[in-house]
Parts: sequence; structure tokens; C-alpha cells
Amino acid sequence: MMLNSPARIKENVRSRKWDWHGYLFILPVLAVLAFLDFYPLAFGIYYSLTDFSLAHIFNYKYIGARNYLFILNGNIPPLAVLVWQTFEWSLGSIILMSSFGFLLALLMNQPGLRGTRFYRTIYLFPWAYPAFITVLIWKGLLDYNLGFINKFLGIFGIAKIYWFGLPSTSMLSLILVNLWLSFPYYTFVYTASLQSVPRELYDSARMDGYGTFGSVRKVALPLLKRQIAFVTIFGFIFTWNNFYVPFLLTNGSPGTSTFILITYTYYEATNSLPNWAMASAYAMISVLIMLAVVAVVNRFTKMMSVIY
Amino acid sequence: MDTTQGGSPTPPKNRLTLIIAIAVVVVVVASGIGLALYYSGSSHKTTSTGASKVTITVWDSSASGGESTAFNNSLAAFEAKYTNVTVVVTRGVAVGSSNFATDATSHKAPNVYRDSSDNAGALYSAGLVVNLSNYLGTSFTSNFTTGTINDWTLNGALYGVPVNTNGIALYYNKNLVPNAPTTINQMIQDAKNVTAMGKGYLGLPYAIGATWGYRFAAWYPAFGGELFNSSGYPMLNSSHDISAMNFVWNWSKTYGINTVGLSSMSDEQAYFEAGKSAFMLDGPWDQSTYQKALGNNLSVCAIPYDSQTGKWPMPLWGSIGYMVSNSAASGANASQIWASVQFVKSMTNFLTQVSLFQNAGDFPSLTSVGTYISAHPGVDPLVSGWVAQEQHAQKFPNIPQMAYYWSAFHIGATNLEQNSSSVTPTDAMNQIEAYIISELKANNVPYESAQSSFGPGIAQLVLIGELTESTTFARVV
Repeated sequence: MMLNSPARIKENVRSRKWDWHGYLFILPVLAVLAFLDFYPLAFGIYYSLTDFSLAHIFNYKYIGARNYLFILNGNIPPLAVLVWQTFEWSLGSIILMSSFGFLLALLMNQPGLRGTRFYRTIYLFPWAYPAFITVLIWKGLLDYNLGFINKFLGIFGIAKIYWFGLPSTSMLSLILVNLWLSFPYYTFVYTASLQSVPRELYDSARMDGYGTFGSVRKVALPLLKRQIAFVTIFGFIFTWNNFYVPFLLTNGSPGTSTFILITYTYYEATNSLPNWAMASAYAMISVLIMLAVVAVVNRFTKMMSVIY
Repeated sequence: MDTTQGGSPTPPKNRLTLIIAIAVVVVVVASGIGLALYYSGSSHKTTSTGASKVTITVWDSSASGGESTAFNNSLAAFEAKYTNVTVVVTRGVAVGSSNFATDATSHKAPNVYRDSSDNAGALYSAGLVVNLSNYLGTSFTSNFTTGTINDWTLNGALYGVPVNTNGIALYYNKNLVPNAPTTINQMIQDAKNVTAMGKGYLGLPYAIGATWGYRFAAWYPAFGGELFNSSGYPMLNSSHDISAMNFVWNWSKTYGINTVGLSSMSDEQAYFEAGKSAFMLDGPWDQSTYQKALGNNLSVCAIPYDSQTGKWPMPLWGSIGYMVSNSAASGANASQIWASVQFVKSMTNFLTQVSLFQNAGDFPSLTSVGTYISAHPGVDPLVSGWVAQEQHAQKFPNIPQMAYYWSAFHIGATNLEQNSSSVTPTDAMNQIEAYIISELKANNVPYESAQSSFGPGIAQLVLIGELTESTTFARVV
């Protein structure tokens, strides 16, 4: 029998003693995961199947899928509306953030550009401020009467805009503020990716007669498509669960037009008559939708291969 | 040595790593179990103090400034009087029942909480708050105005003690409207005159959905309507309430004294403080801001009545007060509950309420303080306007159903504002009613708390076909 024949390897594996030491080494990770992930998740699932609320604070009981059925059949706002608004927020944000970040990275990566360090410092500013403060500043800037934006538009004869008074402009305001908060991250990631592309390939493209955009299309995009897919999809997941921007800026207003799943979940858990079971059900639905989206997207982009 | 077969002695370096790994596991597991035990009610045991020393926890929601000053003075007086009671105060707590309820799930709620009467009503209904009728007799409650005691009474139980009372009235700019309007028609006409001045003037800017129906509730009685009927059933799509919505909607649609799209009260306030609007519907908490902006041109009056029907708009007249949590919510023992009751009495007494009025402009719940204020009119030159409004106010509903009115109204009113081409005031009020019913079903209200049994909840009544307007909430009120 050859030394490394399949049969020999099989035999070795079968005869190998079980070594428990290895499992001890992964115990810390398992313990942390158990307490921080699995335990809360299991309780979330359990609570979503009960009537745990202020009305039944000490005598809640298992009620099966009643909360889920209620969400699917009759709650206001309808689940379909909440999911649509969540997609609107997530997709609108990620398309702008990712493309804007990529464009800025391309600009920063131009050979011979002077003052690169200065520019890079400048576009870190939105990140340097605490996001909470930034959101409040934007809330003031977009104020109908007192906000700088409307006053600035007024110089050009443009009528004041109800940034937070209309459903369409409210969601747009959220997305724009999110763009401001997030573009430095995307710019930095894409800058790093672009710098990993060998300069010679750009030179070759130029020699073949491609201009700036041709080089990007023929060199950078094909080489970076997996990174772009990865950054965009993980950005989408992060934005899907991004709580503080929609919460601080509009908290669902006007009406329920800017509620996304995560902020509505919070609302269910913290209104005057908190319903923690219903909030848990919304959280579970959000997780399930997210998992489905990631599975579908991964099937087409294979973006997880960047990790594994 | 055949290392693939295992069983080799562990090198010293690996052994150290192994020990560290085990230590980390032990620490993490022990911390987790400790936290779980801590929050699972180990402190729920009501221990007898045995000694005379008592510690109580207080969540204070007083606003910074005058209210905090008054609170601190009264706290100092209490601690001087009850030297055996230690008061641990958490400051800056926002009013709202959810924080209290969340802590109550682990029996960690504070002994004393300062909140609004409607939020406290929900907490009482859930069985988290002491029935103070067992501690404070009519000799105590008779010192307070009837309205404020009613605000804090549910099913005959006094579940808190009011420390102030307030609602909204009609501020007006004397520079634009020299005399207070006496009828609704006159108010509309005054607002029209101001709007006609052009140059950014707007008679009565009013963001309908902005305060989630708190201010709007004043208009239902003016048209013979109400929020909930005597059985606690929502009446928002009654013809009377729809008339109220039609009336306010016409401020923008027909009279042009308001504009659609104002998203918050600050939009309205910007007009009023700039001297660009005639009226502002608001409460006494913003009076000092308006005084700074308008000076002697500021005045306040009761929202005028409808001369055709003789009916008055009636703002919700609410109250902030103190409640005492029971042992289920806070793990309190008998001594702590006794000390908490003494604390509440102290924080709502004559001196505290005078201090609150003088420092923060809070209107009192004690009759004697009201008499004191009347004798010292110089303290607040606008007090007569507020007193006039208090004569035409409605009880702030403190039944659990009220909690769902706010979101419902905001959604319906905003829908009307944003989609006025396809949505009518009737549609909006129907939506508000439907939303409240939907929430009541989702939350299984009325409650089936341990403290009081109301029988089957709404959802069950729906399932067995018993949900009728006349019977559903009969057990709640």
C-alpha cells in the first residue's frame, strides 16, 4: 500500500485517537458566542412565541405563532410596507454610498494628484465627529424654517423644501445624511483596493489606447468586482440594521413613512404599552428576510468566497 | 515519536495557553450565570430590613432648571425630616412607561417614579404600582383639585399623587391681535387678517400631526365628540370627531390661515417667535420662551367657543405626579413602600408646589397653592388666561387604550396632509380608529393583570364574536 494512498489516509483517520485538547481551545469562542449570540437569539425566538408585554408582564404564556400571524395579516403599518421602506432605505443608501465612495477613491487614486494627504484628511472629517452629533447637526441644517439648506436654496430662488414633512423627502433626507456619514468608509476601502491593482496594468491599458474611464472599466472593475460585491453587500446588511440615523432624524415620521424594520421593532418594545413579544417577532422576521437576501445574493456573486 | 497518534505530552507553552483558555471559559461562564441570576429575580426576594434604616430609589423626570431646583429643595427637607431614610435619586429620566416596565420585568423598577398620569395609568393597569387609596385617605386627597385627583384615579383606585396640572391654551401676539378672540369665528377672522398682511405672515400655523393628537384632542368636544366613550371604546370615527378634523383641515384648505407640510411644533414656533403669526396653541412650559421673543406683546387666553353650538374646545388637562411601585415591580418591602409614600407626600406638599410655580411656572394641583397664586398675581401676569382655560378642559384619559391614540392620530393626520387629493378627513379618522382597534387586538388589551381580572382580552372577544362597541371595554373603566 502506498504511503499516502486514500486507503492509508482513511485508516490513519479511523485509528486516530480523539484529542479533546483542541476543543478546549475553541471553548472561549463558543462561550462568548453562546452568551452573546445564541442565548439572546434563542430567547428572542421564545419571546416571539409568547404574549410577553406590559399587559402580561408577569404572567406571559406561550401563544404559538399568533404574533407572526397578526403581523402578516393585520397590523398597521402592514409588514409589506415596512419591508419596502427598509429596502428603500438600504438600497438607496448603499447604491449612493458605494458608487460615491468608489468615484472618490478613483479621484484620490489619480497619478500625479497633488495634496492627496490633505484630501484624505478632509474626507475623514464626517467620520471624526461622533455620528450622533452629526445627525443632530443635519437635523438642524434641514429644518424647514431655520435650516441652512433651505436658506441656501432660497438664494437661487428655490422654494423651501419640507425635508422632514413629506414621506418622499423624509426618506431622501435620511439617505443623504447616511451618505454623508458613510462615504469616508467606502472611499477608504476602495482606495485600498485600487492601490492593490498593479500600476503596470493601467500602463498597459493606456498603451492599448484606453483613457481613464476605459482603464477603470477594463482593468479596475474586473479585478475588483469581488471586493466591490463584498463591500456593497455587507454595507447593505449593515444599513438594513442601521438604527440610529432613521431613529434620530425622523423616528418613523411623517406618519409611518420612514419606519424601517429595526426602528419599528424598537417602537413596539418601547412605546407607552411595550409589547416585547411583538418586537421579538419583528426582529425575527427582519433576520429571516436578511438571511434570505444574503443567500440569494451570494448565489449570484459568490461574495462569501472573499471570506472563506 | 508519532505525533499524529495523539497522546504526546503537552509542551509548557501550550499548557499555559490551555490554562488561560480554561480560565477565560470559567470567567465567561461564571459572569454569565451571575448576570442571569442577578436579573432573574434573585433580588426579588422581599427582605425585611429589621433595622430602622431604609433606602428607596427614585427616578426623577423633573426638567433641568426650576423644576430641579424645587425638587432638590424638597428632597433636602424630606431627608432632614426622615433621617432614617436614604434616597437614591436617578436624575434626568424621561417620562414614559417603557423604561419603568423594562426594569420591572426583573423586579428592578425604582420605588418612586415621576411620570404623567396617563403613563402611570398603564403601569397601574399592568399591576406594577401601589394603590395609594390604601395609604392616603380622603382627608389627604380632598386638598387637591378634583380634576387632578381624577387624572390619577382608575377604577376607584388612587395610583399616584399629582404635583402639577397643565394643558394647552391659545397664545396670541397682541401686536397683531390686540384683543383675545371670544368665538371660534373671530379667531378664524383674526387669523385671516394676519395672513392677508402677506410677507410671510401666517395667521395660525399648526402642524396637525406634529404633537400626535395631544393638542388636537381639544377640538373633539367643540363638535360634541370625544376620544373614548364611557365604556372606553375609541370614538374617533364618530361624525362629531370627523367634524373636528374637517374644521381644522379647513384652516389650510379653505381659510388659508395654515399651511400643509409643517413637520413639527418648532416650525410653528418659528413663525410665532418671529412675530409672523397671530396664534400659537401650546402649554405653559413654553411660556418663558415666548415671553423672551414677544415681551409684553404676549398674552394667553382660553381657546374660544363655538357661538353657534355653544360648545367649548377642551384641551386635555393632564398632570405629572409620583407613583410608588409595588414589590412585584421593584422588590420593595413594607418599610420601603411606607418610606416611598412619605416621600411622595413630601414631594407634593404646599411648599414644593409653591416652589415649582415660582421656579418653573408649574401650575399646582393643591387647592391651597392655587389660592396662594391668586393672591400673588404679580408672579405670572398671564395666569388668568390659564385659569380661564382650566375651566374648559377635559380629563386626560388614563385608561390603557389611550396609549394607542398617539400613533394612530399621527398616522391618520399625516396621511391626510400628504395625500389630500385622495384622502378625506373622514378617511383619516377612519384610519385612526382602525389603527387603535388594531393595536388593541395586537396587545390583548384590556389587561389581564395579576392585580385585577378583566376577563377575556380583545383578541379573544373577537375570536368568539363578542366584540361590540357597547360591551368590549366595559370591564376596564
